[in-house]
Amino acid sequence: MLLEVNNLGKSFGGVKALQGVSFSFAQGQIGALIGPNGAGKTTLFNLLTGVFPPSSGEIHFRKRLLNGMSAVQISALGMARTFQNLQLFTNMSVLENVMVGCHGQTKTGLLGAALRLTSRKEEKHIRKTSLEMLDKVGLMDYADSPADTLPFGQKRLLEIARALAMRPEIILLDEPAAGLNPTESRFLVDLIYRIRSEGATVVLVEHDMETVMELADKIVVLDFGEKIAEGTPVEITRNDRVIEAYLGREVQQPA
Amino acid sequence: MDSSSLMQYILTGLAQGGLYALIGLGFVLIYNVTGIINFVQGEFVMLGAMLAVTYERMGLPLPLVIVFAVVSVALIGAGLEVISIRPARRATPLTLIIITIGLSMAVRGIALLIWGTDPLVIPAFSGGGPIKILGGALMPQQFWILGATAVSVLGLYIFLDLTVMGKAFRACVINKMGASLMGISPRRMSTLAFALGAAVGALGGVVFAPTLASYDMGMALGVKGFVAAVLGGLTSVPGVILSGFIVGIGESFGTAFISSGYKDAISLFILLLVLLVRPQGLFGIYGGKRV
Repeated sequence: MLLEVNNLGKSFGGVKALQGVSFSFAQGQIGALIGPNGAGKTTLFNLLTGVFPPSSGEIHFRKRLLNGMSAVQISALGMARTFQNLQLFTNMSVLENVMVGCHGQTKTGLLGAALRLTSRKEEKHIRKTSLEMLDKVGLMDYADSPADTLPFGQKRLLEIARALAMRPEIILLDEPAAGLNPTESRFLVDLIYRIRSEGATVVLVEHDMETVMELADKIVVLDFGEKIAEGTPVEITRNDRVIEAYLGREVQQPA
Repeated sequence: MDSSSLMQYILTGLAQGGLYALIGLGFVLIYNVTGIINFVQGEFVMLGAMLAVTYERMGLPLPLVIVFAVVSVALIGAGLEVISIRPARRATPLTLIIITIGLSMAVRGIALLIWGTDPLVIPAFSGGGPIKILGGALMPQQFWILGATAVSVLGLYIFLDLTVMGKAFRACVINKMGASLMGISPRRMSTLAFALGAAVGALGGVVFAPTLASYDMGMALGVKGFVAAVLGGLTSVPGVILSGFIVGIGESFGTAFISSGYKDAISLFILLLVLLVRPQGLFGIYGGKRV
C-alpha cells in the first residue's frame, strides 16, 4: 500500500478531532475522503502532510513512518497537496508560483544560490517544466499575470499545477471542486484522470457527491472524527451508517 | 540659504542615506522571513568595516577586501542564526528580538577584544578631491556608498526575482505554511535571510570604513537603519531604500538648520513621528507582506 493510516487520532485540547481512523490507499488509486462538515477531513490532511503531528496512531507512506517528520521532509518524500482555503503566493506571478513548486528539484545548495552560482540551465529547465504544468491545467495564457488576479476557479487549478510541479507520488486535493462552475468541474474531473494516468495517486476531500462517485475508486467516510465506512462508491451509497450521517436518522418514537 | 549650499545638504544627505538604506535593507530581509527585528544588524555593519580594515592591512587588493569582508560577515550572520536563533525558534518574536540584543552586545564585546577601542583608519578607496555636482560636492568615497546601495538593490532584485531559490525565499515570506508544504524549509530560509542581511549590512560597513571604523559604531548606525526600515514599513524593499534617503536628507538638513549636535536626535525624532502618526510606515500594509 502506498499510504497506510493506522488507528490515527488527533486531539486539540479536550476536543477529539480524529479518533482511531485506519485506512489505506494503493498506488494509482483515486481515493476520496468524505463526511459532513467538521468530520475531520481537513485535520486528516494536515496530519498526513505534517502540518501538525498526530496525537496517536501511525502514518506510513511509501513504507516510511511519517510520525515526527516535518512538512518539508514529507513533501520531499513525494507528497503534495492543495488547500481548501487557497494558499497561493499572492504577490507572485502565476508562473512563479509553479516554479516555487519545482524548488525541491534544484540541486543548487543554499550557499551556491546565495553566491549566485545557480546554473542557468537548471533555471531554464524549471521554467520549461513549470510552463508544461500550466499548460496541463490550461493556464498557459496567464503565466505572467499576478496570481492574485485569477478568478477563483483558476486559482484552484493553479494550486494543482503548483502541487504537480513537485512531481509527487501522491497528491492530496482539499475540496478541489468547491466553488467551481459545471464547466470547470468537468475540466477538473478530466484533469484528475490525467494525473492518475501519469502515475500519481490522488486523494481528494470533496463535498460534491457527483464528482466523488464518478472519480473515486475507494471512498473513506468520516463522521465526528471516526471512520464509519470504507469501500467502493456503490458500497458507500448503500451503507446505512453513511446515509444516516448524511441524511439523519428517521425520527423514532419519542421516548 | 543659497542654492549651492542647499544642493550640498541634499547630496550629503543622499550619500549618508544610501548607507542607512543598506542597513535598513538588512532589517527588512530578516524581518520578512523570520518576524524578528534583528538588532545585530548594526554590528554586521561594524564587522564589515573592521574586517575591511583588517584585510586591507594584510595587503589584499581592494576588490578582494570588499568580497572577503562581505562573505565573512555573511557567514558570521548565518552562523549566529544557527547557534542562537534556530535553537530558540519556537520562542515568541519578542524573546528572539531580545536574543538579538544580547548577541549584539556579545559581538561588540568580542570586537573590542580583537580590535581595541581606537578607531581604525584606512585610506579612501579612490583618491582625488571632491567631485562637483550642480554647485554641491561629494567625496569619491560617498559615491562608493551610493554605488554599494545600487549594487545591493540590483543584486537582491536578481536573486529574489530571477532565481528559483529567490522565489522560494519570497514564497516563504508570503506564506510560510504553503512554502513548507512545497518542500521549502523555513529554517534554511531563516539562515539565508540572516546571511543576506549580514551581507548587505557588511557592504555598508566596508564602504563606510574610510569614514569610520570603530568597535562601537554599530549601535548608532543600526538605529538609523532601523528608523529607515520602520519608516519604510518594515517589509518593503523599495520602501526602506527611499526611507533611508529620507532619513539621510532629514539628518543633513537638521544639522544645517538646527545644530550638528542634534544629528542623532533627528532620526529618533523621525522614528517617534512615524510611530505616532503612521505606525505602518510609508509603505507598510497591515496584514500583508511584501518583498
